[in-house]
Amino acid sequence: MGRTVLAEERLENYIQQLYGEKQECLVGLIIGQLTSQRDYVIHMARTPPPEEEEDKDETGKTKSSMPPLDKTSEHWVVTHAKQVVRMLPGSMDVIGIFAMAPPDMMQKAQAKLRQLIFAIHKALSKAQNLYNRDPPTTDRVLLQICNTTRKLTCRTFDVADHKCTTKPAEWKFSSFLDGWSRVETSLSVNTSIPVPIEKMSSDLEKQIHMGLAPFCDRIWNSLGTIDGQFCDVKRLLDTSSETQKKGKRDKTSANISMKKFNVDLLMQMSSGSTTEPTVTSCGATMLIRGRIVGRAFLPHKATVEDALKAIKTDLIRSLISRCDLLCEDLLQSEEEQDPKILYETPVRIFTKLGSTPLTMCDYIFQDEKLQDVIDRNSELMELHLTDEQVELDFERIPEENELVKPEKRRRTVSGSFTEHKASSQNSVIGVAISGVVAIIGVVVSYLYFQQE
Amino acid sequence: MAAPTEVTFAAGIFKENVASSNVAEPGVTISSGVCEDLINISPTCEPKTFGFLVGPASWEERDIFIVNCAVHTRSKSNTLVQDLRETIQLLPAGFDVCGVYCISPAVTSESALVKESRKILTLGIEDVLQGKNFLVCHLDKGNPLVTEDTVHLCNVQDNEVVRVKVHRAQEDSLSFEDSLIFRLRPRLQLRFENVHLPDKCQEKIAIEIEDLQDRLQSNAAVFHIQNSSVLLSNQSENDSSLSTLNTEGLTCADLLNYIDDEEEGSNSGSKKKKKSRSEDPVGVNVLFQVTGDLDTGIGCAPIIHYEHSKEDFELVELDLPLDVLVLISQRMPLQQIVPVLVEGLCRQLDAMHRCICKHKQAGNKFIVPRPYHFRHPGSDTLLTVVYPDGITEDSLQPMRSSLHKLFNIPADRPVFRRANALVFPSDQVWDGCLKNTHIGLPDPGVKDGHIYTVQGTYSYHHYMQDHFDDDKWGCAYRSLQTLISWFRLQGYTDVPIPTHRQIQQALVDIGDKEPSFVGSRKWIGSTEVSYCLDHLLGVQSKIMFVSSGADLGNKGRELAHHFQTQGTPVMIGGGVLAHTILGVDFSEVTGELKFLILDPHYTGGEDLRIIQEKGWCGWKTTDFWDKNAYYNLCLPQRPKTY
Repeated sequence: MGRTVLAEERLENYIQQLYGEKQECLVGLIIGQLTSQRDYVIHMARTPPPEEEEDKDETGKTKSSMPPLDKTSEHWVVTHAKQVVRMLPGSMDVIGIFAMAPPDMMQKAQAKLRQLIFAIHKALSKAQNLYNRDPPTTDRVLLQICNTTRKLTCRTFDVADHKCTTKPAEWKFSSFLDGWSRVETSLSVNTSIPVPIEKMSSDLEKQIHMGLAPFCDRIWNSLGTIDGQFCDVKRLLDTSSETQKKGKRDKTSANISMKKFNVDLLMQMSSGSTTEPTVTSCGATMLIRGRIVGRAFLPHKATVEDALKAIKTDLIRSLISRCDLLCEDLLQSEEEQDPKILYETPVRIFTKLGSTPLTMCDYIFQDEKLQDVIDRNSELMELHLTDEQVELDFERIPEENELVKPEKRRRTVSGSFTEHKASSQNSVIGVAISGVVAIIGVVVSYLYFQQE
Repeated sequence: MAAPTEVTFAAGIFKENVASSNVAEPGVTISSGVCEDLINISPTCEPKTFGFLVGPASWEERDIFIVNCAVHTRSKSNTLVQDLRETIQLLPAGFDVCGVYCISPAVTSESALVKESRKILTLGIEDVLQGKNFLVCHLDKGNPLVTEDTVHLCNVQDNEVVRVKVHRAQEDSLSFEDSLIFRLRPRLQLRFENVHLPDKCQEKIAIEIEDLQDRLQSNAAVFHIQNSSVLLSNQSENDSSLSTLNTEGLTCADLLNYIDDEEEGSNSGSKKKKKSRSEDPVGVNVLFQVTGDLDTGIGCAPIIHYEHSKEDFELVELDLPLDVLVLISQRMPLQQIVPVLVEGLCRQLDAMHRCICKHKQAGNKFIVPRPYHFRHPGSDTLLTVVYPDGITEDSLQPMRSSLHKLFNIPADRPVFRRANALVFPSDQVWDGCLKNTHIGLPDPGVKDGHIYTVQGTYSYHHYMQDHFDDDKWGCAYRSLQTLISWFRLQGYTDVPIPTHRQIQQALVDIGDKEPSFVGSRKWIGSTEVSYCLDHLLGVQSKIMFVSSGADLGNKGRELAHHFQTQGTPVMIGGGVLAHTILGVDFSEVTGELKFLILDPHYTGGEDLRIIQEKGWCGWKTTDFWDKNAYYNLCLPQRPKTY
């Protein structure tokens, strides 16, 4: 009684294509959705060959070759997974890996493949603690493709159990996207993060992660509405799905129209943890504000609860991802410390997933061009995008007036309180730093003068 | 000045408004309780001082005032505004200060009174009352009567003083039959920089409190009626992505139809108003919409301002445990409810702000402000007082003292201690003991009798409780526990209910018993009970000696007097048995007497039905007592404390 892994039908062609590759072996990531009943695979992306010194400025991607399967660099594949996971919408994850090799090489690499699955899980779960709190399953998928016999072997591992044995699973191609739904929202972020003295020496990424944790908690614990309605979380998201069941099957993924739902989140304003007043010595304050869009895709028969979890996961992951991208970028640029710094996180964009109605996403810094996105998606996601397949206008870069840090002050002065007239209308002089994603990064930083 | 028009009124405070809506003329109805109160207080007030008149806020356009409570702040004109603020913070939303009373030195002419009223108009009251019109009631120190000649309506818009029709209600207090109580209990996080200069610190806190208030007043604040799918907010329908309830044409009473039974909320069929709910307020969740196109924050991808401070600073974080009651008429249009809910939250934030600043401890320790609800003894008005956590009742005595003065409540018994706070049915926590087990017993039926019982609440302590086997020897200990429970529940003490061993130790400590007494199974009697009450609680008792059980039949008048004046449960010991007397049914005419007995010898479980049916708590005739035994009664006396 193994799991059933449903692969989106167009992936059959993808695998066919792999057989034609010159390379003897390759590994890649399986992207999709795990549910308690079955797993959906919606995309597969092979890990690019490791960079070698001489290949650095080469644009072609097939020239450098993969090492034998059992010599695959764990770090390399894990890095790929970390980057890919940021490019996924809510409810999608790296749910496993695939590998293609001749039988004897595959045999030799069994331990390695298992190692890779556990390593990816470990690397991703560190950040996922912030957003993926309630995974439906801890099983991960391994698909082995034999390029001699062209046989597909699918197995699952329980990554929660280090001693687990593999379980056979059924891999089936299917067109399951009909009846799926898309949920969307846009979240207003406005959170102030004090940095305790003992954390001042930590790097920015750690400070942000720690500081955002309470905000992420609140998102996770917020209540949600579907199209403005407050509804029972056990209800089906798409209540029309029952009646519209007839007359499908002949649809291909290309002409599926997807139902859209808008989610709103209602948050409580408690920290949830402290009952007694706490006093913390702090050395700095961060204020993170802006608006981010969230998007998730839900299979047929998903419940309201599934949808809310998916969109919350997406929002938190998106917020964390762009901060991480910023920090990685800053590491490369090594700016000197200024007392007041203004960072701009990259803007989220969405990318069409082939002929499906699904979209993946990416983040673009201000100094990047559309071509950078297209190149990156080609390399990391094996997505070959045209300009039209990139949705750029869901988020936007800040306008000048938005860069001014708002100051809180008394609105009225009442009798009992002493009058306070703030004399210094500080003009903010900040250093704005903008950056670029890690792998193919050029970093430009510039001074930004904000005049009153 | 226009001639005042008669305003009719009914018993229910909110029916009043309905009746008057047919008449459509301004007027004020004052409960006779308030009139009495004003008559009593005036002679004790300095001339030219002020107090406030409180009543349900009118939701209609017209100036219809109902006064059912007075607050005696004894303000001078320079403290009036601040006192007004603090008074409002005590009131549930939906209740307002609707007027000021002013003690005038002597009988003056009408024109002089109008002049006085005009003066009051300049004191800045209307800012606090949010531009609402208010009453000024002039009280003659020597002859403080509330009449049409002494009450003015101050019209804030026109800056004008007019006469107003005054009606004195027959009722001591105006009841709340038609009202709905809502309860909001959000925890709101407060963060502020701790500055060591007190003024600066207060300022820092004020900024954050105001920020919270701004957020509550913004259209991001969304109110969810518990056990329903109803959302209410300030958002207009057009610019809202939420489908909040279309409130047009609905009243607050209609809201009840949307509340599901708690048992199974998912079935839409159960849209019936549940009667049992009426005891409990309607719960409302306070939420903040963080998504959609609200005009909060900025619309670009996130930016991070990172600011190193020149010096390290201390950040204080606490969750404010708000607990806000909102009292409004069922007939109020639902469209008006959101601002009232917000007002309640904002008032309490102000009260908490004051509490935090006032009780800031040395060494930068801050307290958690916690609200407690009380019922004003003279009327049904609900009051909310914010007390600091962790400060003893003794230390809060000055605060209670001022509350007693504000409401002119005799300072002879606890009214505003935390233990006196209202407990709503949904708040009740099972502590292992039944409370007031005599409620629901059939009438004892003494001809021409009058029933006198314990005032307030006690808990039933009996054999075998707390997994402790005291069968056959612990009855007096249990009776003592019941007596102590009464003092605890009335707020006289927070000493925990002592165990048998602690009771024995107390008797050893005062030298009444040898050390070997501790841990024994020896009986105690009425005198030991009185020693323990004295030693553990500082409560004095009267001991009544009765030479025979039959003689108890002659103690009706004395016991009735005890329950009337003291109202404490009485421990009685005789022969080998101890009981608790909770009341008497006594006829002055025939002398017939029945006793309401709570029997500590019960060994069963906490089942009220068995306890009442089998007579473990019940009415007994004089035959209940042993004719051949003598009895000692311990009658605890209420300490004169508050």
